[in-house]
Amino acid sequence: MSRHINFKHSDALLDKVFDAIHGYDLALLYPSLEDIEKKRMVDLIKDDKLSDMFVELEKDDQLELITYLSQSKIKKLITSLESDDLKEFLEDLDKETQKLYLKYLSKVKAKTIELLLTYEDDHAASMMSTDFITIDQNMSVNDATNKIVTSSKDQDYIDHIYVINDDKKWVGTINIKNLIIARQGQYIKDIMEGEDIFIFADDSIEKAIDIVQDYDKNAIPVLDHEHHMIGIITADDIFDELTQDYEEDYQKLALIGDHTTSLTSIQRSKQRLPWLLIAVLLNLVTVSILSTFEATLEAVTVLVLFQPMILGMAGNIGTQSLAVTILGIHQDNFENKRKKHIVKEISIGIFNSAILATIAFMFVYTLLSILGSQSVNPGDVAQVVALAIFLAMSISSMMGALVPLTLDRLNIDPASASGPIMTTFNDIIALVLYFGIATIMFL
Amino acid sequence: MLKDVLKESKKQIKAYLDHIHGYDLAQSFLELSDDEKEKLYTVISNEKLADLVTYLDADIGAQIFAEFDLIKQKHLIDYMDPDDAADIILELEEEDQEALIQTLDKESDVLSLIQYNEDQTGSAMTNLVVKLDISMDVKKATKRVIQEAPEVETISTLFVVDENDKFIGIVDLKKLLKAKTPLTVKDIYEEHPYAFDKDPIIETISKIRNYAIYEMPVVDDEMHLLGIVTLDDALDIYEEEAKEDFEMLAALPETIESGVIKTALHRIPWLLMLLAISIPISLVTSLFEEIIAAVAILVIFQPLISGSAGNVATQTLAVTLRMLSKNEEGIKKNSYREIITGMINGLIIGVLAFVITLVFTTMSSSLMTNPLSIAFVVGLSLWLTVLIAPIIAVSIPLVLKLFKIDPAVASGPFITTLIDISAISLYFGLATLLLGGV
Repeated sequence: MSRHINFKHSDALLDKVFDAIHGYDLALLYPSLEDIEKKRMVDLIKDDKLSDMFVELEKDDQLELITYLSQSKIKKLITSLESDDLKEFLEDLDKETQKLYLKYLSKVKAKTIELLLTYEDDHAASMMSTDFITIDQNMSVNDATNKIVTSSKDQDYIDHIYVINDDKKWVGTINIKNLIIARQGQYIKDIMEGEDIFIFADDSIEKAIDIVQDYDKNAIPVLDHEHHMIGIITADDIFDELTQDYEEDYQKLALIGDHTTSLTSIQRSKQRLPWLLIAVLLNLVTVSILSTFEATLEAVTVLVLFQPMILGMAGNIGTQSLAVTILGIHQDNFENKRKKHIVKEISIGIFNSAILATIAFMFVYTLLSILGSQSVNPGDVAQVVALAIFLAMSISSMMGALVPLTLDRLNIDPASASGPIMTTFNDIIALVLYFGIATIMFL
Repeated sequence: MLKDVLKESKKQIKAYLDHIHGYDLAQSFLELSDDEKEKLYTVISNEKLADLVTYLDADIGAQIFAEFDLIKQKHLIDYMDPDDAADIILELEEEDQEALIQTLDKESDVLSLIQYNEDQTGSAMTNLVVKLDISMDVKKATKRVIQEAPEVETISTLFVVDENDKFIGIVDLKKLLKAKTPLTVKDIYEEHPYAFDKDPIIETISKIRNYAIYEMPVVDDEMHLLGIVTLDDALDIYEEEAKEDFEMLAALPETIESGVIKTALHRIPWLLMLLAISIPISLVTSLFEEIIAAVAILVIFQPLISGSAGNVATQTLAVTLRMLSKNEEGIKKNSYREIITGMINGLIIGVLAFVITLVFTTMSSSLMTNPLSIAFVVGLSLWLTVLIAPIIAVSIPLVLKLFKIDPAVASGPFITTLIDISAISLYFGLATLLLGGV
């Protein structure tokens, strides 16, 4: 994709350049332009490209772009947007401004958008679009085709046509393909598929993602509880939602914020520093707890050798079970597998901890025997280390499974568990166990 | 459920199978016993069986295939989308693979798909599309659409080729239906993003997502239209890749669905490796026993230093792995920025650690040593290790890539352990230098 545009070109040439670039790429370009360049770009590009670009922009850039437009162009832009994109744009604006924009729309459309704005964030209905076509089940194939050809708007989704009965309830779906190849004289009821793949307006977005993915649908109907069809959720929006979910999980696991490659060093520092500072401050707790064991430490300095290993291993196994659990929560009908998952993860944790503790025992014993350490018996230290590793790892893997699940129950993003609080907690547990056992053993 | 239905008469089973969606069928299939599966095979039509196989993982699909003779296998292939069929064939034992490929037509779409690597765009392609010639008038074009509709996956997008059969754009079905003669395809087609068959699949998938494309045209080097990659396939592939990235960062092998012991053993190699590389930490620490014995309080701040450096390394690593897995350009510039970021962050948390240590050691009465110099050692080591951390975290994946090892094996825990070694050497080393005389 061309990432650089020469604004010294003539209007006509620039126009051609813009024509060849996809709206998404224009949107990537837009924030880096000078004000004058932005204005020229907005003036030159075609209306449909403008709306393609508009929907991909960040909120601030959207608002700025609008200031470059004439009243008539604003109207064109607002009316050409898909209902879900328009809703997203209006969502965070204050009521007054919302009204200002809704004025550009027809009464019916404005009502629909107002309704869309009322749905709760995590409900499937909040990501639906209302640009779909319904036909009556008693229509003939011919009439239906005519209706679609004459009444569909540019932004309407017509890959599937939704069929309703006399009570306006959704009864089935027709793939446009089947409508096109249907013979004259057939009726919609004869060719529609009465499948039951749909979602209720107040179902969760996760459920919508699952359904679209599992059934390989390009769109699914959204129904109210009387089975009236109120919208569709399309696969491209699902794709965006899914990407966002995974990105967020990844970023939280890595303690980075909303990272993009274009960020400068200073921006990166600013974004990540809070996490690091929290981690340092939390370490203060670790430090204070550790200092209570100073006597043990001074008496048996050899303990220090294995401290990083114990902390590290507990952290590692915790990360594993945490990651499995976060991925698990994304899976279909995880609700039913919850108990099984917990039991399984805990058993795996204990099993692997036991194996690693045994190996650690042998290692510590060998190392200390070779070093020929003075006062302490290698077997004793090895016992302490092995026991501490076993307990610390078991507990850490248990936390890795339980904490995200609990957060999920409380409707907090389970991936938040992958932060410094968890790490510090695991560190403290591991240290207290290690030096606690050592204190009992040696003092 | 399928399990219960299988106890009924053949007629009832058939009726049930007629209505169930392939995905639901696949889900309940997994719960069947071998006998029940046998029974299902005797009743189910080839078409539905092909549908079932499509919704199962390719390796399970291949197992089902292996239960049947060649003739039936070929029938099943005929009912499947070429991309799904290619996936299954690639999972079969080598002999079975060859035998089955022999039976396929020379021009079979499946054959053309098998030649692609898993990470090439061509491997995820379906080749059932409606092609329109640029010179067609809209009436003729509509006729072509109606004729070919039953054979293809979708007619929402129609693909336009020029006189030389080269891909030049698309026509939206809506636009075609609304157009009237004397318009021709030439008047209503528009340019459209496309992908080359040899392009990495990751790139094609992000194009599909960014441009919100339901059917991405795939062409060869000469711009001949080979097929499309559909959004639903892209979605599945994306999810797989995203999961892999996530698992790698957590030092987790690919998730498998099996019993406790098997899963545990599956995960243990990573843990063992991590344990193995943490052994040098103990060895390194043992070199500094003298200073530790002399200034025991140093030990208290060791988790602070290792932990912070580990966090910084994980951040850099995640960013770097992401770039590598997405094939993004500008790794050099990114590495440079990461290192600068490390310097800045290291300085800030180094100063903070200095203050914390100073306050803490001053308050702690049991101490004879100079709190200021201990705080200085802690602050300085922290800064230096946080400075080194991004350098290690950028260079290791890049070096691994150079040796053609999947850079993602350098997971978070792996890097953190490596950082531990340098952190401890630095910390106790500095302490010996600066406090050694006490």
